[in-house]
Amino acid sequence: MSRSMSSACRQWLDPISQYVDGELEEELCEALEAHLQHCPDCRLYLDTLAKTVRIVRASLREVPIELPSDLQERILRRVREAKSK
Amino acid sequence: MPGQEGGMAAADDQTFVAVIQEYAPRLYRHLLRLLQDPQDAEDALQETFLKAYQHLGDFRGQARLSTWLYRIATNEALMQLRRKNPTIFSLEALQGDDAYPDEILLNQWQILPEQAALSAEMRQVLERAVQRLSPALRVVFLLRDVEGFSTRETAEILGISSDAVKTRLSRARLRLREALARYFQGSASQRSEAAL
Repeated sequence: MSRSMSSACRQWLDPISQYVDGELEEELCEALEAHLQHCPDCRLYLDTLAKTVRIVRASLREVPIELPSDLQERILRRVREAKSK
Repeated sequence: MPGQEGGMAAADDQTFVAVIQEYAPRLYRHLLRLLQDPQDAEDALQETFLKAYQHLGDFRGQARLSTWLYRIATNEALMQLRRKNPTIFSLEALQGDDAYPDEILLNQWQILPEQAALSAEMRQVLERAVQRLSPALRVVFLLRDVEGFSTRETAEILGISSDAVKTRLSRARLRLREALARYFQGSASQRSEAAL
C-alpha cells in the first residue's frame, strides 16, 4: 500500500538526508529523533532513503567502464604537443 | 573512493602517464554520467588532463590529487553544459525544478539493499533516474553518493557552500528514492498478480 507524505512532514526531508550521513547538527538531530518517535511516515522515509543511498553506492560506484579505444593515447599526444610548444 | 595523496609539482612524464592510467576510466565514467554524451565526455576528459598538465605547478598537495582532478573535470563539464544551455543554471540557489515533488510515495520496501543492487535492471532504473536529474542536482549527487567525496570536498570542487551541497543532495536523493519506490511498487504488484 502506498500513501503520500503530509505537507507538515516535508520540513523534515532535508534534515533526514543529513541524518543519514551523520551530518545533522545536534539540536536539530534531537528534534528529528523526537519527531520520528511518533511519525511512522518520516520513519518510513528515513528507512527507504537510507536504503536508496546503500543501493546507489553498491550499484553505481564500481561500474566497470572501458575507455574508448586509443583515447588514452590521444590524451598523451595532446599533452606532449602542449609540452613541445 | 579516489585516493592518491601527495604533491606532483615535480612530476615527470612517467608519473603523469600513471596518473592518466589511474584516473582516466573513473573520470570518464563521471563525465559520461554528467554530460550524457560519449563524444562530449571524451572531449572533456582530454581537456581535463591537458589543463592538469599545464597547471601541475599550481598543485601543491594541500588538496588530494583526486579532488583536484575532479574539480578540473567537473568544471570542464559544467562549462560544456552551460555552453549548450543558454539559460545558465545556478549551483548555489535552488531552482524551480529542484523543489520537492507534489507527491512523495510511502510504501514499504521488502528488500535487502546490497542484494537489490546486484540486479542489472535496478542499475538501469538508477542510471535513468540520474539522467533525469537537473544538471545542478546531478553533479552534487554524482560527487557525493557515487564518487564518494565528502560534503566539504564536494563544496570545494564546485565552489559552493556545504549547506548548498546538503540541500541539493537531499533533493537528488529524494528523486532517486521515488524512482526506486515506483519500481518496488511495480514489482510488488506483479508478484501479487502472479500469486492470484
